[in-house]
Amino acid sequence: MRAGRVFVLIVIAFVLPAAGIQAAPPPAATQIRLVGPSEGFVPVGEVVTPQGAVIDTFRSGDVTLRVLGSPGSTVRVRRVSEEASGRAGVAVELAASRPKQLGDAAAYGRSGRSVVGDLVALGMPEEDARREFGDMDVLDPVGAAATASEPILLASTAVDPTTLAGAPSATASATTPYDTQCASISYQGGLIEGYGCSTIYLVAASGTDWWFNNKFKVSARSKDPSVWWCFPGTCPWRLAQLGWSLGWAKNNILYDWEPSATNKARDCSTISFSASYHGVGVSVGGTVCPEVIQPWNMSGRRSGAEWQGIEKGTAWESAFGIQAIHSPPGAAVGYSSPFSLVWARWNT
Amino acid sequence: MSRYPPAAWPIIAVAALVLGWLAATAWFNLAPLRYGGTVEGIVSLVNEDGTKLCIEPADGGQLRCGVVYGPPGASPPTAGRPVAVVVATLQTTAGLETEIFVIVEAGD
Repeated sequence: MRAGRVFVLIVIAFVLPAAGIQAAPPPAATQIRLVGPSEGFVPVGEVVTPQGAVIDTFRSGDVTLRVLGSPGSTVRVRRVSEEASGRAGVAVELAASRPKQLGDAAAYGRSGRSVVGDLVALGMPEEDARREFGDMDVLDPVGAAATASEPILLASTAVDPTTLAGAPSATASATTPYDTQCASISYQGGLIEGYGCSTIYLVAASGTDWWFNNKFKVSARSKDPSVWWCFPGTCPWRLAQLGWSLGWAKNNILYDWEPSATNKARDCSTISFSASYHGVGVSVGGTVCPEVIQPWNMSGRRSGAEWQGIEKGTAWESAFGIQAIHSPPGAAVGYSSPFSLVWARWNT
Repeated sequence: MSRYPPAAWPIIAVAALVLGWLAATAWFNLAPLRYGGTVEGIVSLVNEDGTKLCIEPADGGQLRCGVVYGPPGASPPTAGRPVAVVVATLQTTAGLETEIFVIVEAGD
């Protein structure tokens, strides 16, 4: 916290907006099941998109969480409260599993879904969805299209496929997502809103020896107008933290990732992470404003990205990253997207 | 009358310029590479080619991850081993800095 500023900090995490899609009657049992302690969240609506994806809406007080996934997925919610700093929040984890069969691998591609379409279904304005998440539907937009105004390439790595044991042949699904997981959060009727997705690409398979190149991104903003001075408790709500990660079931192996270090931004910059894993390029980009984008929620089977700072204005903030996963024989195709969003009252 | 010979003035001017530049960059935190402390702990995660790692700090702080720079010929650290790194902040572009880890001690 910066000294000299007066404010009340309150953090709330992970809420999904209820706007955008017509509310359906509260379902008796949602197809995306709420597991673990409910933390006050109750299902308030369920919609099945024409492509077969399920959108379930859960609400607790001023927080609305909407998750989009396949029937049978689960969602876990945890409220976070930091008494010392005055912050509060909610952490969410959306989980799914699929049979490890090549016949099932193209199911997403056949469905006609897209990340932008899913986010619009969750309530994100289409123009914002295309600008913030347009690169999530393509495996390697940076590598595929060198433009005159290329973003700053913050990291670019290549893993020699010959160093990887038993390199299977690439599959046609490299350019079509294997699956996606998306969610949205809304606080106080959209005063703060956040959207995020994981996109999973199966880039090689030999029997049940599978390789995935994945990307994830979360974008959020406060629509509270900036002020230079305010009484404690009346300052506008500002974003303070965004985090999104993608984890995998037991025996899967995370063998590379970005971001790999803490990156400090002096000014808002458009950056991208780009790499070649198992001989297949993957990239993601976005705008990062002060203070930092850095690794988050890391483990041997999970990687993520986090933005921390104090938002100024009402522009979108984002955190994003890429990862490489080896799913050897015996490892199930189970994955989850833990994410969090935190905000606070702040006089900027 | 000047105490320095005329030929020395250009040298003094250049030295003053360099020192001024260094002082200014230090003052405004603009040096391309800055010392950011030392982290000791256990390697918890290493990527496929050993160029990235995460450290569980011995003091119980948050996991620290960075891009690795080690002595020439040094083998990359492995997960579960103790390690000590110097953290340096490298300015990659005008508006961006990234943390790098320089390995100073790796456990066997």
